[in-house]
Amino acid sequence: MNALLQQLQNRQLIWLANQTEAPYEHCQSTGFSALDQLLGGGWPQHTVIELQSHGACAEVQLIQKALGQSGSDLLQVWINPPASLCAEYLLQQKRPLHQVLQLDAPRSADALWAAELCLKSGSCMDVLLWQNQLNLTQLKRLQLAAAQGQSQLYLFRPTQAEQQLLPWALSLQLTPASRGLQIRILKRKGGWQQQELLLPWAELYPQFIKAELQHSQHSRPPLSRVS
Amino acid sequence: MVAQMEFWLYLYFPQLQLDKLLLQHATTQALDKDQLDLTAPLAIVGADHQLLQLNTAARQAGLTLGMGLASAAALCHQLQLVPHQAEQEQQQLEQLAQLLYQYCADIALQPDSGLLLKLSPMLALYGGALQFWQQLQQVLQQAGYQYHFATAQQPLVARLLAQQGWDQFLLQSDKIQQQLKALPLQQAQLPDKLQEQFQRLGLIRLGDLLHIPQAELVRRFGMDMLQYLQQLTGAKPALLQFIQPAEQFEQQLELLYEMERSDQLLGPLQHLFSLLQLYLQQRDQLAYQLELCLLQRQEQQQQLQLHSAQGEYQSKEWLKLCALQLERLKLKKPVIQLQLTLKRAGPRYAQYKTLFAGKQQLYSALQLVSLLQARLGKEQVKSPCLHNDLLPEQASHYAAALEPQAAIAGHLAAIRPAFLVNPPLALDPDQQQQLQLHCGPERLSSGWWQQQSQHRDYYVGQNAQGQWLWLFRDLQQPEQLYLQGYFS
Repeated sequence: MNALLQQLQNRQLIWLANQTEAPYEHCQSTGFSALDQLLGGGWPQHTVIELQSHGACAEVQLIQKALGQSGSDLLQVWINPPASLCAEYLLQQKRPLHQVLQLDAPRSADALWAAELCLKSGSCMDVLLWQNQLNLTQLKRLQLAAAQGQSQLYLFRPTQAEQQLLPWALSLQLTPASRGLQIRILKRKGGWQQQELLLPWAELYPQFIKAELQHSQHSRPPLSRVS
Repeated sequence: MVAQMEFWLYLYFPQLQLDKLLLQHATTQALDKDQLDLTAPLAIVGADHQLLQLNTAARQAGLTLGMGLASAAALCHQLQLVPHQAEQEQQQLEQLAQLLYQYCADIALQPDSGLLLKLSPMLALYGGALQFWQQLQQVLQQAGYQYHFATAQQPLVARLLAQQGWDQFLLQSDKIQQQLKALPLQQAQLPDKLQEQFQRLGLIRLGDLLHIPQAELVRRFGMDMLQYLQQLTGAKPALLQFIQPAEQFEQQLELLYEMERSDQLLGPLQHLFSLLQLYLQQRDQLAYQLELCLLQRQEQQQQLQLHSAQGEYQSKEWLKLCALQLERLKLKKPVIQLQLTLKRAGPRYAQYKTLFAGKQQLYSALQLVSLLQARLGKEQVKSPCLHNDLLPEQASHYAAALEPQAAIAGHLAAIRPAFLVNPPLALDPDQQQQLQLHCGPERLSSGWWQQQSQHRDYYVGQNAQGQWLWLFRDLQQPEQLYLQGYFS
């Protein structure tokens, strides 16, 4: 091999097509073995992860196990969530309520400012941000802040019709299907993107969907139950 | 003779008002045309139309202190006049005293722009008179006012010598006495009548007076003379009231010109916050809440409440919080005066940082909350909290950010969504038709001890878009479904 190439490879600046196992330096398990396998280890850490969905389809549930593993003495910040937070749900996830902060920032510039401040403060572990538009500069700033404060940003966006070319460390598209959640990798640092996974609902919502009962229980219209 | 000799330092500030003008001019490059030109002749005029303070240009024009207005105008027709403001000078003097209080415990304000400092107790602390004096000189130089000084064993002697402009820091009493004896009687601060009498008697210097036996002087000139002589020789201690540090922090700052943009205010605010820092440092305290009042033209005012959840004393941290609030503020009228009041303070304590998480903290959680609140508003930063209620929309509430929550006993219900819709949304029949129910019912009955009792059956459902919903039906109108929350 060329000496220059060898040198670059030693410094891990070159990505080889057969190295799809662990593209990220630090990974945190997602808690779902199939997803871990798809992502090559788990969620990349200290960066920005995009989750595209049209909402209410287990997008928070998907990261919930990872959130539970991160330090409980650090803050969890929810910026502009789509509805008000349910305290009982947070307690079910073993999250002390005084470690949860909700911010309402009507202006998008304020929301991004708050996210950046929280990320680099070092006193937050996970920041969850609901934001529609993001450009390259803003993403870079958030990524730097996350690396500086060793924190993680999960960005929730509506499903985008046209794909922008933003350098996400990881970008997933979530689509609900009848059997489970369709997870498609849109963008991933150092990996093939055309990969898909169907995560069964029973794994995501074990508390109310049992795997064996999944087919028998639903599909009756609700009004028929009343009479 | 007492074993420990008392020594006093008198600091005399001859032109406080003029120096203040010069200092303000140096710090702000104002572009106003109607501003005073401080390089041209300028004088501060007292109520009796006498010149009290002169700048260098005025002195060069031949004006002297105590000159009447008419002769001054004759000598220099373009002389600018500023009325003397005794109250303002008194304030400046008090500020100076507060500044020096850090270095000297006993400071007394004197009526004619002077400060009297008791040296003797401080010498042991500083390990020598010279070190102490160097420290004081440094502070005075930073303050930027002109001053004269003198030391003596008696307060009155120190004052006479300082006002004469002796400017010697000596602790040898023989040299001081020598200087005192050479002092002309006109400068001895005796009543005019006495001075005239002494002049007629042929007494010129204070030394001549001190040669005459005391009893003779008292017999001829009365009790006033006795008191004066006693103060001069230290036979009777002077009555002095030493200053106490202010109990309440409240500082005002007049702006030199009207400020129309809020970012211009940061310069003057920095000065106010540095005064606050000094105040807090002296008491080893942290400030939690400040009130900033922006006084505006036409007697309007706008008030800002500054909060810090963690408590800060450093001026730069407060300036940062204040800048965030000012960004949001729209000034109604140009600002002419700032007023800063300390509303809540507490003792300072050590701040602990995470030891094992291995993260470098730029801000602590409380600092972060203060910063967020400053920009977004206090109500926009909150933490969820749980109330003891069966109805989900009543149970989940919000409390102030990071407030510790009382844990509620009892087990948690099995199925709860991440997000709640409050109030519940009634679904129309079309939407109801498209729903698939997966799990339920879970019955919640609440308020049966009250007037409005609620009986609800909760279901988990999925709509046509595949979204997971938390729905309920009220038993009183079972055909209607309500949307209570989103699983997410």
